[in-house]
This record gives sequence, structure tokens and C-alpha cells, in this order.
Amino acid sequence: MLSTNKTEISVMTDMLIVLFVLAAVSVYYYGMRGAIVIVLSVVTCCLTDVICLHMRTNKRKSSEKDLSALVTGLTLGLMMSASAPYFAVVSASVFAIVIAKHAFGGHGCEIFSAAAAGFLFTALCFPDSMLHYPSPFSKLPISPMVSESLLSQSMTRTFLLTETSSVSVMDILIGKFSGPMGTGFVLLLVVAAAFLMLRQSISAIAFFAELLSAGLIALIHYKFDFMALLYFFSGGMFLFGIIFLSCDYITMPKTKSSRLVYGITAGVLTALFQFYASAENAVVYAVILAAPVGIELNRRSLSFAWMLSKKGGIFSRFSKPIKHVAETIDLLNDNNEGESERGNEQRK
Amino acid sequence: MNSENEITFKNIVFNGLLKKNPILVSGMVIAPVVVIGNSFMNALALAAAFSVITFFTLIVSSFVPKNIVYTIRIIMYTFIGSLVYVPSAILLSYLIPDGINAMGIFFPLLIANGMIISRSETIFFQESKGHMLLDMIFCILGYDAAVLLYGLIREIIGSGTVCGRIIGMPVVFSGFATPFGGFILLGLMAALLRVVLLTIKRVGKAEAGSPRGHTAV
Repeated sequence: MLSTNKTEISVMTDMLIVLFVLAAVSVYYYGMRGAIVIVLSVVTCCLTDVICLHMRTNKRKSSEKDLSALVTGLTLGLMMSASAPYFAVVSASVFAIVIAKHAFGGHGCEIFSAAAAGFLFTALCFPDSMLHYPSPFSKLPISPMVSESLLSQSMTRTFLLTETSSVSVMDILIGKFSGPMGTGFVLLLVVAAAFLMLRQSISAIAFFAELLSAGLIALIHYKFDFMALLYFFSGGMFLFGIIFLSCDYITMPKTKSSRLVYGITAGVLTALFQFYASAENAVVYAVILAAPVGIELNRRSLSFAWMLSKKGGIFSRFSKPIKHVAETIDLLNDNNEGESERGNEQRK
Repeated sequence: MNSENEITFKNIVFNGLLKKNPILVSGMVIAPVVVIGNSFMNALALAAAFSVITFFTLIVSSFVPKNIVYTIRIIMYTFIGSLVYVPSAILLSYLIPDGINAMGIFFPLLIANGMIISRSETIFFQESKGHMLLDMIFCILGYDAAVLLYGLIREIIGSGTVCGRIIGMPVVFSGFATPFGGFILLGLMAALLRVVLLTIKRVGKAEAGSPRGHTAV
């Protein structure tokens, strides 16, 4: 849960609203094939989730209202190329749900963003199909495989190789360039980020920490060329990745300071991957690496807060004035209660 | 009825091959399996190298007196392993040269594998000689069976071939040929074995609960 007033179902509903809008625009840009890829991803994720829940013995009651499979399916679908082979979409979805979600204990226990893990798996297995993209508004056949003559490198790959791009500023803002289906609509993503932050569905601290840290490194790398910075922000799923992968409510740390450090870590890693490893979609790699950092930070800050709150301890005099500490102690208590309830359920 | 911990031939075979499988249950010597076990032939070379080195090293090491300090004993086992390695390397390089070349640094590293360093002290050398020999053989066979099955599955999924021959798989997941996919496949196989063991246990309990010839009224 991101804030005390928000429930998990509310966060997921907000995410779904934004993702549906992005999916609609993607279908407008890439036609029927884009729609099939998104629907296939969503259906496979939901179906696999249902099967996994039935197979697992320790089903939770909360899983009845769990929309996370739908969010993962939509996120994954939008990260795909519109020309992605159908078997690649299905295998990414199955991997995301079975390996990245249920193998770690199901909803709420994931270590990595399931969508990011699913995407990485298919990018590793089918690099040629997954990292070549059609141009927007090109006529794509509905057949499982699309001819390579219709595909080209992404705008990000071209920019990484040549440090220039022929795409105009207007086209960048409306996402009219080769790349993953739903990740390049800069204007729409900015509005989406503002909406989600106002609704407290994503963490503004983590979002801005990641954006600014990566942006600062990019600005220094490109010697204060602001056009290059725009290409950096718009390509490689950067904005999309920050909103839907980095600020994922499950892997996001619970305390504000942890979120700040987590955001900076993810931002720095994204920039390093992009500039020194020439990795396309660097944010996905960064999110996978930063997620354990976030979990560890969260654990450390909670245990530090507990140490501060101990009566008679050497830090006890600092425990009252720090609002942040009080907040983390509440979270710690909530966690302990949650764990004990879970333990009772398992014992039953 | 024999209990699970009773020393019988059936229990030794079951423990070595399934219940205490060195790879899928104990997670021993998994680095070479994940890195080089991406084809059946590589898996075969690994299984052969592991079996020869481990078997002879353990046999010779079992004669090391127990009154020597533990730390020195372990160093002696590694020393014996390195002695066994020389003839093993000559023999295996002659029999399976490609497989041994593919193993690279992981072949000499087998002299310090987990079965020699830790399992020997905790399990094998605590038993009588005859029992130790049987236990050791079936543990090694369990390792070999798991490696060969793993190599075969990984080659089919990751490369679409069996022993280098194309078998016409509709989809090939090349990610499984990499260490990343190798770890995932190993985890999936370990989980599958766990399910099999739990099922066997459940069936055994059910049979023990309702003796044959008696029906519930």
C-alpha cells in the first residue's frame, strides 16, 4: 500500500485506467495486430494466474480481488513490439506469472516486477523478433510471424549507435517512432504520471529521484545537449519503465527515505546501462537490479526504526521527534501483524 | 514395514537417486551443471568426470585416519582428489575429448566438489565400509541421472536438438541455453522432484493407514 488512504485495489484500478488508455492509443497506431498482442498477453497472464492459484495449496482469500495479473498482462503487452510473434507473447506472460510471481509466493511476495522479468526472458530467447519494430501506422499482417522487411531498429538503438535521430520533436511527443508499442507516448505518459501521483498510486519521491538522477547523468554525458536528453527520456521505455516498473507498488520500498535511495539507484543504473553497456530498454535491466536494493533498504530502515523505538536504548531519545520513524514503526507493526495472521492461517 | 531411516538396499537406492539427490535436493556442484550442461554430450562428459573423480577420491579418502585434525583431513581429501584428477584427465580426454574441452576450468575444479569436501565427513565416513560404498555409488548415480536428464531437456528446449541432431521443435527458447535459463530449468526440475517426493510420501502414508484386505465400515 502506498499511502494510508489508498487500498491496493484502488491503486490497481488507477493503473488499469492509465494502461487501458495507452492500450487504446497503441491499437490506433498499430491496428489489429497490436490489439491481438495486448489481448493475448492479458488473457495468458490471467489464465496462468488462475491455474497457478488453483495448483497452489495455500490459496489466499485476498486473491479473489487481485487484479495484479491484469496489470502485469497489460504492462507486458504494451512493452512488446507490435510485430512480436504470438508464441513469444505467450511465453513472456507465462514466465512472468509462473516464475516471477508464483514461484516467489504469489501476489505481494514478488522480488522483481513480473512484467520486467517476462520481457527480459523473451528478449533473451527471441532477440531478433523482440527488438525489431514496425513503424506506426504500417499495415501489419495478423499472421503469427511478421516479415523482417516491415521491421527496423528502434529509435533508441539508432540513437545509441549514431547519437543522432531523424525523428522530429512533435513525433517524439506523440510517440510516432519505431519502438515498443505503448511506451513512447511522451505527452500521454507525462499526464499519466501526474494522474497517478495525484491519486497517490505511484510514489512521487521514487519517480522524481529516478528521473532526475538519470537525467542529470544523461545531461552530463550528452554535454548539456537538451535535444539528446529528450531522445533519452522518450526512448528505451524510460518514462513507461519508471511509472509502471520502477514505481510498482509491490516491489516499492515502504519508507520515504528508502524510496529516495531506491529511485536514485534505479536512475543511476539506467543511465549506466544505457551509456556504458549500450543496452536498449536499459530501464528494465535497472529495475531488475534495483528491486533487491529496494527490499533490503526497506528491511534496514524498518529494523533501524525498531532499534530507535526500543525503550531504554541509546537511540530512544531520538525516536519521538522524527516523524519518519513513527511512520516506519507503524509499518513495522502492520507487517508483524500481517505475518502473524499469515502464520495463523498456515497453521490452520 | 521398513521405516524411512532404516538401512536397507531399497532405502539406499531411493535416497541416492531421489530423496537426497545431490543436485536437485542438496544443490551440490550446480555451477558446472548450469554453465556447461547445455547439451546432452556436455552433460555426459560432466557426469563421467564427476563420477570418476568423486568415486576414486572418496574410496582413497576413506582410509585417511579419523584421528587427524578435521582441517588437515579436508586438505588431504583435496590432495587425494588432485592426484586422482591426473589419470582421470588422461583417460577422459582420450574417451570424450570434446566434452572435456567444453568443461574448461570446471573439470579440474571437480576435485574440490561438495560431495568430497562435506558429504564425505557428514554422511559417508560415518557409515560402515559396505554401506558407504553402496550409498556413494547411488549418490553418484543420482547426480549422473539428474545431469543427463537436465542436459537432454535443456538441449531440446534451448537448441531444438538431441545430441546435435535437429529434431524440428516448433519453438526454440535460446534463453535456456544460457546460464540464466539453466538456473531456472534447474529450479523447475527441483520443484518437480519435490512434488514427486511429496506424492510418494502421501501415497505411502495412505497405504500405511489403510491395510490391504480391510475396508472401512
